[in-house]
Amino acid sequence: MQDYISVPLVGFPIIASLIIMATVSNLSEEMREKMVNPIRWAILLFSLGLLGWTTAMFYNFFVDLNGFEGIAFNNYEFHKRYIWVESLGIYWSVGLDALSFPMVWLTTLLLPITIIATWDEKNGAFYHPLILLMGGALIGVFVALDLFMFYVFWELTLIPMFFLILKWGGEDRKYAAQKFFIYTFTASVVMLLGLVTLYFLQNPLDPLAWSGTMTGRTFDIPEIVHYATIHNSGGNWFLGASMQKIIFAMLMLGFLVKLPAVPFHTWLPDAHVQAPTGGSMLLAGVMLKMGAYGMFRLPLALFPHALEYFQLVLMAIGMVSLVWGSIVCLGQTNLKKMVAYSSVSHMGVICIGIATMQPMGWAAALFMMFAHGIISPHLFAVCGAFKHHYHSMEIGGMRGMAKHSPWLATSMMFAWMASLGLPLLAGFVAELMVLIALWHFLVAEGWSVLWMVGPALVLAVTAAYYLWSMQRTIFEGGDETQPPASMDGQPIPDIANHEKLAMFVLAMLTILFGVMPWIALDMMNDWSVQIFEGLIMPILGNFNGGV
Amino acid sequence: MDWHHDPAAHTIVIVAFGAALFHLFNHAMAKGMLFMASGSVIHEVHHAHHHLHHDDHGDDDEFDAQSMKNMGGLASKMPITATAMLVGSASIMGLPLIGGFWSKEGIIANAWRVALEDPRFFFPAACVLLGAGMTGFYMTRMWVKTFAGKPSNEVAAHVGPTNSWIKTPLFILTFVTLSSVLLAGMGFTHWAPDSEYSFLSDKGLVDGIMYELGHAFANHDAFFFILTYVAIALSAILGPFMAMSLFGGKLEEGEDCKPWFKPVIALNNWVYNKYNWDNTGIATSGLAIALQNRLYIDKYYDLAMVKIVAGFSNKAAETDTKIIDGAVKQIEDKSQKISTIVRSLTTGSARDYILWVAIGTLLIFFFIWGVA
Repeated sequence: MQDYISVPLVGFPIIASLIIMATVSNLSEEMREKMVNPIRWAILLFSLGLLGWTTAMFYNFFVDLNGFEGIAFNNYEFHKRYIWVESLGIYWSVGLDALSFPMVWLTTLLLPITIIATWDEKNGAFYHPLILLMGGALIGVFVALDLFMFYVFWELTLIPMFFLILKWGGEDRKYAAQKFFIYTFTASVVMLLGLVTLYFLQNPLDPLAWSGTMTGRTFDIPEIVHYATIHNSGGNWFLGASMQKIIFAMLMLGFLVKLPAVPFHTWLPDAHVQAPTGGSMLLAGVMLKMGAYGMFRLPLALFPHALEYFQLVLMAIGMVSLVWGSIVCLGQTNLKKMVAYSSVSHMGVICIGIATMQPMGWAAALFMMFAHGIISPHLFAVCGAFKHHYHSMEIGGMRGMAKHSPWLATSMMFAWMASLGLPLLAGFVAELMVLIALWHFLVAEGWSVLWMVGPALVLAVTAAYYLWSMQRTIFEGGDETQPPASMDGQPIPDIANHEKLAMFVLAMLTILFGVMPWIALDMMNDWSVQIFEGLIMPILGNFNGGV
Repeated sequence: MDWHHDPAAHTIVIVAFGAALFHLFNHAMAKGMLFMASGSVIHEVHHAHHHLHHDDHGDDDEFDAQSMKNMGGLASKMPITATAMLVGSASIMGLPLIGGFWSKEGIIANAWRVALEDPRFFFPAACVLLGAGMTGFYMTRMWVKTFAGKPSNEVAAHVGPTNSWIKTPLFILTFVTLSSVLLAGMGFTHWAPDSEYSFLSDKGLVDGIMYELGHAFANHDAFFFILTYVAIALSAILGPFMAMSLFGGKLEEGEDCKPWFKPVIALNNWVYNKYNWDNTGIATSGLAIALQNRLYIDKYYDLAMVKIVAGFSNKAAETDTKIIDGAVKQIEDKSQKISTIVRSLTTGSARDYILWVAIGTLLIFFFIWGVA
């Protein structure tokens, strides 16, 4: 099969952005300013091309594949494998399935939208290439089907984000950038240890072992999953019970920090508050999903026994993230920090969805990843507009802004409503599905119904903090608006046209996927059922459920 | 009585459904009309206020266009609105033959029918009667305070008629409310078929009306016969009488009103002059003040929200920064301190390094020796 992924989706964005940045850095200050416009137009057009490319993939332009549905477990579309380091079993291996494709499409969608929303970010000759580099690295994570390559791209995403925060961030950007880098890096080093252990513990003498290399071991994910599935069957634990639990925990630590789940979440609010708008949009929109994606791709597929063993822990972590995130939101005074904590809460929903071990819960978690990927950039675009135009994000610092900035107020209201789960908007579908899956799980497995208290409480608290923050910024005041003190009595602007465009597109997509969720949900559901029936049912035969 | 399994109980429930559904309809018409009419009054009072005080547009404006204290004597100034309000009030009160009377009477009768069967339902049945009397009081109070009596201030004296966009729906709703008797005759209280007859079936319109009239005013059952007149006495006589004795009165001298208001205002004037009494004691009693403050439920609800929920979430946010993130910062701080100590070993002096190499070599020897 032709390679539709490596060059257009991964190689070209990364190499092109590096070349642009290298070239621009040799230019004089004056020339750099002149080059900003051609560069951002070129990057915008190119990223629109990427969006067109992935959309064409979905609509069978290249290969007839029924929209990523009906792919058997551990099979991949557009799969392409090149030998990289043959003796060690390292490959450049790329492919897509219903788990990774929505994320790749989301990334290619958010690239042009981020570029449009932050069209006149300062130092644009570096900023826009860096966004593109970020996009290339993120796509690399999602398409990688080789542990080595996966880890390389996993860490590669940190670098552009580090510079985005460091160079374009707020007051305290140095601290935030370092904290973000070191925190997530430490966790992913633990994950790397887990991956390397996974590599070394493959038994080359096993007749089923990978025979393609000198070492008899491989980094190739489909091969490892295949190998693990056979070794997991018949009541056996792949790698042995204790080792499976240890590697599971090591991998999960990396993913839970990235997700982030309470108590590993404190890097997120700092990073978000200091990050520029574009950085926040990509960070919340795609980067957090790397954690959830990793959970699905590796621990869930490789270690179903350990997943069942740690199910209670995972459920508890998800529940704590959900409840704690939303309660802390209510106590925030900074708009962006509140939105960041609401992401923690939403990621808790994903964690719960995975912990239910139901196909419906997994499909819901996948859809939540996707829906939150559309909604949260909208939230951060609104926060960015507040910062950009009013130089303030203090919730209590302003009043009645709707009077002066109707566009901003409308966008804010829409994004806030979408995020609190208004029916007919994308977030609602995912949240409702998680709740139903959780309920089915509790009943089927005989867990206490009290687990439902958390989600029920959070529904109210989430509505409370979103509505309350909205009331305190854009409403309340009637004729007496109170612009933030930072405005110094200057006239109050509304958002610019390019921001309106970006927010409008996101809003339309939120409605589209709220009214017609099946566009994305069908393949996710299919994938979840495939993995449940192909993996969980044969291995954990006695497991109840299957909604 | 076994409500789930006794078929005898089911007929009671079904007939009450019919009355309740009919009441939903009547209530929708009358209450919609009342809101629209009161909106029209508020709009005109506001307008009159602005007209009179057009030079002071200050925000310190204390004038409340919704307060009945700022109205009075509007019957001569807003005839259509006053008519709609009168018909709507009568319908809500259950004044005989008008709108809500038909359904309300059915509900009261059924409530008592159930109470006779099952004594647990005596309390709700009594509440229904009490409610009917109180409705008679407060609806009359609203009408006479707004439309009868003398204008309470300069603003009320300058209120103009309402505009025709509001008049049209008011007229339609008034018409529907007044023609409720026809709907009753069509068997609207019998949506769900009962033992006697069903909606739009056996009886013609005239027969239906005659049946409903007879059923309401000349019931064969002595208990229900008396009950009807007790309900009418409470909601259409005692309640309005109490309200008229306290509020309203004659219109301003020289003000003329439509002929259908005249008996109402004359009655009001007569009751007001003859039976007026001082209600300050009740109005300033603790119960009245508690009721004005909605029994303080909102107050304590707000208090609980602000103090408990917001307080807890603020504490949670603090905990998140100080304890969870504090732990991370502690790790960061300690590891930096350790690295400072370790860094101090890097002296740059060749003698130190040779010493370390020597120690290391010795250690390796010891280990090899130990293992071997």
